[in-house]
Amino acid sequence: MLGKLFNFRFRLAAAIFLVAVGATVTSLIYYYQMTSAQIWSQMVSRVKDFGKLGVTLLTPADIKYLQTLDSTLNSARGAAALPPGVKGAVISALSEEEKTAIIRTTAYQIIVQKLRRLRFASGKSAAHETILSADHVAEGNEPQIHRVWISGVKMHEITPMHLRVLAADEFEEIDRDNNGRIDPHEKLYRIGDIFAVKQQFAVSAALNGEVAVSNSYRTETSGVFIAGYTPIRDAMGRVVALLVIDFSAATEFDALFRLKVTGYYIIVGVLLLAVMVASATSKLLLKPLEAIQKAAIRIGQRDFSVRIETGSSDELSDLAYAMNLMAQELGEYSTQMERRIAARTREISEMLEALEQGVLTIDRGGIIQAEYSAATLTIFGVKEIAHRRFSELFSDEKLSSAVDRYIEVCFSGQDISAPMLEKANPLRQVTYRNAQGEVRHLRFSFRPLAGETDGEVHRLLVTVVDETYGVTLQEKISLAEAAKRAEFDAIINMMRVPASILDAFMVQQKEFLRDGKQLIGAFGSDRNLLTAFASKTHALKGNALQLGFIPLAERLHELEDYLAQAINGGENDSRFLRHEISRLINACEGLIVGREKLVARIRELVGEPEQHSEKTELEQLRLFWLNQINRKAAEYSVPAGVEVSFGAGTEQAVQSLHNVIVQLLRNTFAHGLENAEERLERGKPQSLSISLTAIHAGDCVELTYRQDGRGIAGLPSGQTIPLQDILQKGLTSAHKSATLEAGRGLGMEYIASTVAALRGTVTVTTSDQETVFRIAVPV
Amino acid sequence: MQLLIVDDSELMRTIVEQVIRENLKEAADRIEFFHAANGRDAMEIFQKNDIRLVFLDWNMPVLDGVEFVREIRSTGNKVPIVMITSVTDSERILQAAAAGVNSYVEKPIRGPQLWDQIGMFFRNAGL
Repeated sequence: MLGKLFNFRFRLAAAIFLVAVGATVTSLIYYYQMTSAQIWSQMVSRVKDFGKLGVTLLTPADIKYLQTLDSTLNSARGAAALPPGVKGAVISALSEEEKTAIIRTTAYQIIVQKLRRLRFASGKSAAHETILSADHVAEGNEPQIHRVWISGVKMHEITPMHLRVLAADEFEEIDRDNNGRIDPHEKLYRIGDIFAVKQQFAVSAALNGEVAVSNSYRTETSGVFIAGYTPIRDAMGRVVALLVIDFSAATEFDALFRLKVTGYYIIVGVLLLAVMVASATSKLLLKPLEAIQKAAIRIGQRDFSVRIETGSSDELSDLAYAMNLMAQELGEYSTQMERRIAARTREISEMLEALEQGVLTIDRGGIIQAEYSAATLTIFGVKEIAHRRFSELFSDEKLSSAVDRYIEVCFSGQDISAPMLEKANPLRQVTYRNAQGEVRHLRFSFRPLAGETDGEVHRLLVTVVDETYGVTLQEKISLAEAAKRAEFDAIINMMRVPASILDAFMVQQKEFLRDGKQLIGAFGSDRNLLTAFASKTHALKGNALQLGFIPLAERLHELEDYLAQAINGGENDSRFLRHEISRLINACEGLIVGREKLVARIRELVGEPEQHSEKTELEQLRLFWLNQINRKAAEYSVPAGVEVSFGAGTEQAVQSLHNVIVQLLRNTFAHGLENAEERLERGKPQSLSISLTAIHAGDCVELTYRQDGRGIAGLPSGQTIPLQDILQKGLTSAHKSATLEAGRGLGMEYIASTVAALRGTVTVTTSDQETVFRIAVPV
Repeated sequence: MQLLIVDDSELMRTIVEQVIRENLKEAADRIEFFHAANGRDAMEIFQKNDIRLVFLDWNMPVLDGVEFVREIRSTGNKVPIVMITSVTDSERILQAAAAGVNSYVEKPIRGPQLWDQIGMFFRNAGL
């Protein structure tokens, strides 16, 4: 986090720095560009001025002479002397004798004198001698014109890349800088020498009659130069020769260089200054932020006591204030959380402790093997458990021998189903007092471990779960609920049983009561009577159990015990037995139900029983839906009053709306249910009321589905609205409880589209009192 | 395939047969159901036919379920035997397992659960 702060500070400093440096460098570059452009243009105009002056010095006679000289030098001999492709090489087309002869002519000497005068005029002071010798040295500095010469144009006409020297300001080699040798720049420009053109652009311009200057500096070992080309015209105005001036730019170049160096110094200075200023400024700006940052780090380290001083009244102090609030809230929240986590951890660790499993293996002989889990010792309260007989762990003799028999069965290799093995397990659920005297609720499970090669059972893996703490009240409650549910299931299952069987059960009950009373009247007189009654009791018990009359079955079971004693002659005397048998038969009578009561109970639980009598299609349809709705209610364990009535001529319409009704039911049970308190609050009876009716009216069948559950949320209460309109507006499910059954709003879509396909209409009216779907389809 | 249902209650026998018929649908036509109300009758039917699966009640007059199993097993017959009984104590179930009962269904029976436990016998028989 600190690193990030520095990053931010660094970025801020860098921004300030870049602005400062950028501004300075830009202005420096601008200043330099302006200055150098100015110096250049001054120099260019000086060169041009000297060029024009030089040309002015030449008389028409001089020009005529130069023209003639050019023509002579451009003779076939001279031109042929130029090797093809040679560039920049100095080639003389004349012999030394011929050159000397030309130099000695007066006309030539006059031109040379004029060129020398022009050269010295660019120095500190103009030369005043009548004749300037070749080795004349200027007073003070060397003149700025380094060399001045005249080029012919004939050569150029043949090869545009070359110029030929007609006359130069000197004709002897002179050691001008007095260093005792002739340097390249001191080389003599001789008559007829041919040069490769270096400034093609300027030369072309001059040949076209302009006073032209090279467009950049030319750097040579001897210095920095610019070259000026001034056209020399004859009386007709034609360009017959060029006056070429090599002008030294050393002074100006030096000035520019010094300017550059100064600029660099300034930039470095500004850089250093900018670094300091940027660093200082950013530090100043970030100081309050840094305090907040440090506080955030401390909060991150769970120190919620941190507070920031909120002195000044800028935005940052607002931030600091917010931060203080946050720290305080976090502190409170954290304390709470810690408390809750501690409590939860305790719960979980207790649970884990309770769930710790004992694991051990036993061999065919019932002997515990050497490998077992540590928890096993704690559960049994012993220090060592290996090599003991497993059944000996149980002091109860009966249990111990049952365990031995069970182990034997497990090893028998017989094909026994897993549920059966589990049921036969005598240690499924035991209350065990261990060696330390602790009472524990244990659950043992056995798993045969087959050998890899022979597939035979070699070992039994025994898992012991200590449920002493795990058996909570909640679990007991859910078990009780499951038992109740099982009773429902039994009855529902019974619905598949033909009516004749039910009738037989009724008869069986009646016979039982009749025989029972007869038995009591003549108790002990006839042994056959007892045996026959015992058989009847047993048969009735089986059926009562199957039909879900558990209390009756329990009493019949008890009765069976006493009857067996009476038959076999047990430890109880006959008077006692008679009394008990009589008591139980009377108890059974109270529990025995007549046909009406039985049918009522079945109807209450699962709707109309299926009967084999002939019924109209409409009645069958009605019973079907009655049954369906009742089953649905039983599935959700909701008490429901169901009414189904279909008028004549509605069969087809109801059948075509089958899936629509299914959807309506699903929605009712998945979303529409309320708990008992909610219903009470809204003044509704405890049981849900559902009615499904269909009537044939005109050329339409109107199907009405009415239920008084929770309304559909999001719809105006009590208004009748076409379903299509609701869907267009986007109906969301009343409760965010999508289940497998319903909840994605697709049901409504389905209803609307199915009815639309039948060219029918659907409206819905809903309130917290009842919801009504009215579906009309043409027939 | 021949199948034997032994129970002294007609109701029980009807339910068992019905659950099998409902779950197997048309394939149930290939099953011949034999009913017996006690162990003695059952033994007679068993000896006269090629019974491949037995559903058996425990408490019956004349010859009870476990005795019936012992008799069958004593001849080395390994026909799968499913005990359907209200007996729930592990000691007696263990006794049945030791006698040679292969599977056990607790009364009162419920269609889906019963099928969960016995369905595999029919699948094994290719029905």
